[in-house]
Amino acid sequence: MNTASPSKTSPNSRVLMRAHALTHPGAQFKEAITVADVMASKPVAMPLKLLDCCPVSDGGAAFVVSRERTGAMGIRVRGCAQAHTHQHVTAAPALSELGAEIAIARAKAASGVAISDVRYAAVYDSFTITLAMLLEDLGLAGRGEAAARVRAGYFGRAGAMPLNTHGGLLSYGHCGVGGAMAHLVETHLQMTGRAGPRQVRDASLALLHGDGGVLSSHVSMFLERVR
Amino acid sequence: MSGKLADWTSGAEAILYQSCGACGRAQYFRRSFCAACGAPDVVEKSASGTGTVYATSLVCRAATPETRAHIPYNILLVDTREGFRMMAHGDNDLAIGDQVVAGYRSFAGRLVPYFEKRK
Repeated sequence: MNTASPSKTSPNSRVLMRAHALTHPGAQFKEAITVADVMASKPVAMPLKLLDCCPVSDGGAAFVVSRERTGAMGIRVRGCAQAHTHQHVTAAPALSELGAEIAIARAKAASGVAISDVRYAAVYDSFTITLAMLLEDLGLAGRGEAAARVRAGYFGRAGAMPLNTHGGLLSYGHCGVGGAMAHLVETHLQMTGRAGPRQVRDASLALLHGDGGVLSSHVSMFLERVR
Repeated sequence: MSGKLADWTSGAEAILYQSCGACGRAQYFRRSFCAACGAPDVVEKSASGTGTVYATSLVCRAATPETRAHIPYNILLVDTREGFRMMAHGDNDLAIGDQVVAGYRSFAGRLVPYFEKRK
């Protein structure tokens, strides 16, 4: 369980999401930031500061689902699963038993995919602490190791597990449902080799994870590129 | 008495919860059934107002114009002696693990439970 304060562990993920946003013409935020900027930002609800929180954005996202193949490459859903443990935070299970762990375990069982097979990750990032918790719950980092992996470049565009290369909710923007749909749009662009200057080396298999409520409702999905 | 209990949500200085007649679990949000086992015989009870702080967050940015005068204010999750967890206001210097007891204060025009360290 990651019990450390997010103000000590997570500002790097905001800096990473901002760096990714700088490479997307549609992102809300266009200026680079540093860890010092995150730490110096105004307190909102401690220990979260302004730059630990996603913005309130105008915007939208769209994708078209077709039965017929529209190009040389297609995307297949390998497996998908969900878990809903509570609505209000007072009814949430222990931090080590949240729905993300249940959803990812079910998705792995449904698809036969292991986390070590994943080449691109799209993870809901409403707050820096949400992202750190989800990365660890999903097995993309060990307990308490998400921040260190972010700092080491593991989740960068050229890293071992590129994450939210459009900038995520934290820096691309969060316009409600469309904010999370942007993760899927970016995943599709990456998987089909259409992400332009943001293109990662290999996005042949992706993990998409969404979260709603207060870590209440979780959906994990494995997507695979097919030719 | 009519037998119907009143709590802070209707202006009375009390915290109510439900206790399941079948499995004994306590729940804070009122339902016509037990959220743990589904039994329909939940009984409304008055809580002691004592508990332990599970989490705190000091709110520094007002969510609404009415709450601006209260900034900064602490929002707690309290594990009550009766076994349910509730969200409430409390002293700004409370820390996780503190033993607390509920009083009542006005917040943005409404009476709310307000926890202080138990003496």
